[in-house]
Amino acid sequence: MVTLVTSDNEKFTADKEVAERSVLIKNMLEDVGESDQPIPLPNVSSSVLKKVLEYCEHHRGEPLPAADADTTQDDTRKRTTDISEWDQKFITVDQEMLFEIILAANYLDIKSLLDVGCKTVANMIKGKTPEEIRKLFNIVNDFTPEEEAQIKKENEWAEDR
Amino acid sequence: MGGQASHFVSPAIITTLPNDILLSICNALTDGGDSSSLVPLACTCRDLHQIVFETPTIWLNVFASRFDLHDFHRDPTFDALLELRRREDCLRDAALSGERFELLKEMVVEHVEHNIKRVAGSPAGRAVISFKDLTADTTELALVSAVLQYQPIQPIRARMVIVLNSVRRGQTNHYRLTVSTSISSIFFELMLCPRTERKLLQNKLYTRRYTLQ
Repeated sequence: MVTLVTSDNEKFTADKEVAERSVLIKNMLEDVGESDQPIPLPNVSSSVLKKVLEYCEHHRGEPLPAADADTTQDDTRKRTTDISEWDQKFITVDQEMLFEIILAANYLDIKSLLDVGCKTVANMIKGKTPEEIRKLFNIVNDFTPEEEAQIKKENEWAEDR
Repeated sequence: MGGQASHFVSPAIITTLPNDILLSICNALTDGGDSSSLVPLACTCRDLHQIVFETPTIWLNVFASRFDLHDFHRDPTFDALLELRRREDCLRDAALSGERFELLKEMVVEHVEHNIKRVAGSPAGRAVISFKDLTADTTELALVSAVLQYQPIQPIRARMVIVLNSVRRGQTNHYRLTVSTSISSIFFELMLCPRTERKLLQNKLYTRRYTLQ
């Protein structure tokens, strides 16, 4: 078993096999060797780590993507729309948590979880207008009206044929 | 889908994400070769505009999707299909390795090569952004691809520039295609001092000549 300590000082215990879905944790465990020493995760809060461990537990035993995997040759690489049913349900969280999970997956180096998060955000964006995207993510439009008109004109070439 | 039932979120968390995560999101948006959602995203704010159009692989994805780069590889032979597959994978790939950037560059160049007539005949401001008649009396034209279009908003940095020069003699168009991965100076010098072309071309990465009837 491995003990993980979150940014809000909460301790979580997980099977080594589950925790090692994170390349960061795996490397840290290799560094400390056989030890009961807790692993500090100062960039992950308890609420987020709980979700991350839930994901790792569900995907326990699945092969990890090789660090140097050539994705151009990876036939199993999933497309945006191919988020599994369980993953979709898992990632149905509020937006703040979604981005927290993405940041945690990036920090903990859990590629499959990062992919699910990014694909989910991509799916939220698809088919929306700039204004709808701004509203969805609370993005402030910092273009001047002149710039915005110009950008719109310039981007006509890239719109749907 | 996750997050759509969200409450108010503190100012634009998405724009505070590290660039590599934003790139992953952009790449997920272009999955399957459809980049139509990238442009609306880029039009939301300056930060995202910069991410989309200052990142070579992302921008090239937009370009590739818009101009069907794969069309010239729809060939039933095994080698051609393998090459097509490699290119399609490349377009989906989030990695910004030097090797893949070069491949994307090749694809764009190849597209322009195979579409000179179409590119040259495109209405100004659509397939090409700048259509400049350098010397109207000799009908010498310079076409500059969309890479230059963002210059008024952001200074041009390391984008790829495609310059297609065309000279019409009788019923024949002579073209010279030049591709460079950097520099605005080429464009501006060409516009301002077309006679310096020969010297400038010596520094470019790629030059070919074509003659089309």
